[in-house]
Amino acid sequence: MLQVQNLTKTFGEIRAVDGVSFGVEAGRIFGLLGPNGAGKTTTIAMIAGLIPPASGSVHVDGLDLAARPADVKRRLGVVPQEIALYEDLTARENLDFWGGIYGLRGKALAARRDALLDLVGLADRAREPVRNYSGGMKRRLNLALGLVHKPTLILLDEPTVGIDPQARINLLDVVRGLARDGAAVLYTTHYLEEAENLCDELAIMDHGTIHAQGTVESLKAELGEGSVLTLQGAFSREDVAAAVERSTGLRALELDDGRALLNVPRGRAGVGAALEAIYTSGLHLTDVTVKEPNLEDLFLKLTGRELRD
Amino acid sequence: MFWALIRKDLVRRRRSPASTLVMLAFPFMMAGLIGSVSGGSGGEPEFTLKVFLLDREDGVLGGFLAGASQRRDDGNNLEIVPVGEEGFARMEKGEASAMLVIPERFSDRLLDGEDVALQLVLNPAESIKPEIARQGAEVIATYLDVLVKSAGDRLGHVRDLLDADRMPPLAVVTAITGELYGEMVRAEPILFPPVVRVVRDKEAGGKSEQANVFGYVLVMVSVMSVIFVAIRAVTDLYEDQRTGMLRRQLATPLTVSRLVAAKCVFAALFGAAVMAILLVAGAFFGWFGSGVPVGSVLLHAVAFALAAAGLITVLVALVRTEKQAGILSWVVVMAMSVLGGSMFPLELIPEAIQRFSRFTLNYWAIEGFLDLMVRGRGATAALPATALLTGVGLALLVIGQHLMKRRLREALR
Repeated sequence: MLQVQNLTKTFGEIRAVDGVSFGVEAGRIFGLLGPNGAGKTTTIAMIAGLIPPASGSVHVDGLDLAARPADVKRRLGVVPQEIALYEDLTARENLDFWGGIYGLRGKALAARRDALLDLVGLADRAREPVRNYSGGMKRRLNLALGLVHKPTLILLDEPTVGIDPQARINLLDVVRGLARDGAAVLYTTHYLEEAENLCDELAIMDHGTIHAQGTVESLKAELGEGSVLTLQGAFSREDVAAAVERSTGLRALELDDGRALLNVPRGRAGVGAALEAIYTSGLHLTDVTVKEPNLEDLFLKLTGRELRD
Repeated sequence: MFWALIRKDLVRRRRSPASTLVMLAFPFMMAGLIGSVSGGSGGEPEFTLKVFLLDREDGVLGGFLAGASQRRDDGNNLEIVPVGEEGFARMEKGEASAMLVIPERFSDRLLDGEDVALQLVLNPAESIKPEIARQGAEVIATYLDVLVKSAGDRLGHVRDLLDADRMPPLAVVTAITGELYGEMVRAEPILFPPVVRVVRDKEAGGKSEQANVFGYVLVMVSVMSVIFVAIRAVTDLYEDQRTGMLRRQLATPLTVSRLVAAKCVFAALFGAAVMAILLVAGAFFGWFGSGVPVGSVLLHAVAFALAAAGLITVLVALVRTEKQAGILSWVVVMAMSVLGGSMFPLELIPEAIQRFSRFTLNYWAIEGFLDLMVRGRGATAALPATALLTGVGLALLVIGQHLMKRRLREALR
């Protein structure tokens, strides 16, 4: 459904997006995971035709965005990060306006509007001005506006920012439902749990480039079998490297002064042996954690910094 | 798609009607205030200044002033009412805007070359009319002053003629008055125009205007309202930019050109509707003459609203933010309103400045509406102004759209 090839965007000296390529199939949710400033929103803006890329191409349903922007945009449903609603209008009026933009009218528009109000759970408040809504309700309406014309490719840019956990769960359920109904979904987020639980495929993005992409399982596999051992304390990078070399089975994922991320072979013996090797190495430790590998660890391994940095 | 944008703006105006109501109420408020102060009313088409005259000497000046107020066939709006000493009590009751008191032996002392003074009592409950009366009294005083100074030794001769028991020879009177008239004519360029004038427009063919002050002011101020409506409409684009709505709209098949065009069309249609509502309401109150050519008025309203939308689009596109757009538009609109006759009748503006009036939209709009609704000059009288506004409006819209497209595209980057 969506094919992005070598997409690049520069703002002056800054390369906001640098040679990004990925694809999203119909019925699948593809996540762009990265911290703020990673280039996710710029990527979405180029796919939505809002800003022209410096180089690269975007194809939707086989149509080249550069050559046929209007046809491509009719297939897109864009849900921006900021809540973009007319707050003096009601939910119905907002939906009517967006439906009108896509040429919907009459009974077809009314039916679609009512279906969407049901979908996002706003049917009972549909005649109230949006300014009276809670943040979660506005987020849900923000999503509904992007779906009014039944798009085949849905671009969701951090749609859960600033809403409560329950509203987030509801919204993610709606997104899963859209994919089940056959839409291709491109979903950007900086929430690891969201990306892990929602996305069929992920690309980890930072400083405008994609560092890794694949299914959640395949990405985690890059960390190796077994557990992740995180060490913090007053030690140097070389001290940890020497300790890892002396042990059996330990593998360094990320080493730094005062902090290290190590892969420990699966099984109790593996963890015990690893801890013993660390202990006997004489490193001055202040904190040791052992956990199952997650995307945070992978992000740290790939970029050298935490997702929350 | 295009009409969805316009319909949305209309629904938003309906949902948040405060600014529109202000734009509709403002002209009526101003018409009411200024019309009332000026003495205009539904059944009284003329501005009349009522002045009491207390003539304690019963001489030439009093007779001249009383006679002047009788000549009401040439647009004279001054009503001078001779009163006795009870005039002071009647002034206390607010029966006139001012009272001019000519002291005893005023003419004698004037002809003797002594310092003399006229007394003027003003009505404190009024503002504009007493000021006009004061200015008028100063003009009389100045005229008399110049007359005395320029007549010189001839004053004695004049006095002898006035004191004579019998009618002086016509040839002598003619010679003296001719000389004095010549002096006054030579002095006129440095005496006039006075600071305040009451001017009444009149057709060459003798057909005088039928509307009253309320109608005049309503037209003048309504024109301002339409421009403010255009500002509100066009600056919505910056609000959409600020709230992220612009990006969202441009992620649909909408183009920047179409978005800007829809905004301009909405501004023009809504402005024309506001103007039409104001004028229809004014007509309902009887503030305009009969036989107003409705079609021509509507055409002129659309042309003016189009021009206002075009001008505001250009202005708004010259700046980067909603706030800057508001400030720039406000400054330009106020300047145009002062120069173009929305704040004061053009007759009150110095002629040197009046030359710039023709460069304002207000001027052409007001002139057109006045021709059609106040001066009763017929359905085609405003066509040149309508055509000019349409042409200027279309040109401004093309320029404005080009500039605005560039501005919005910059904002997206």
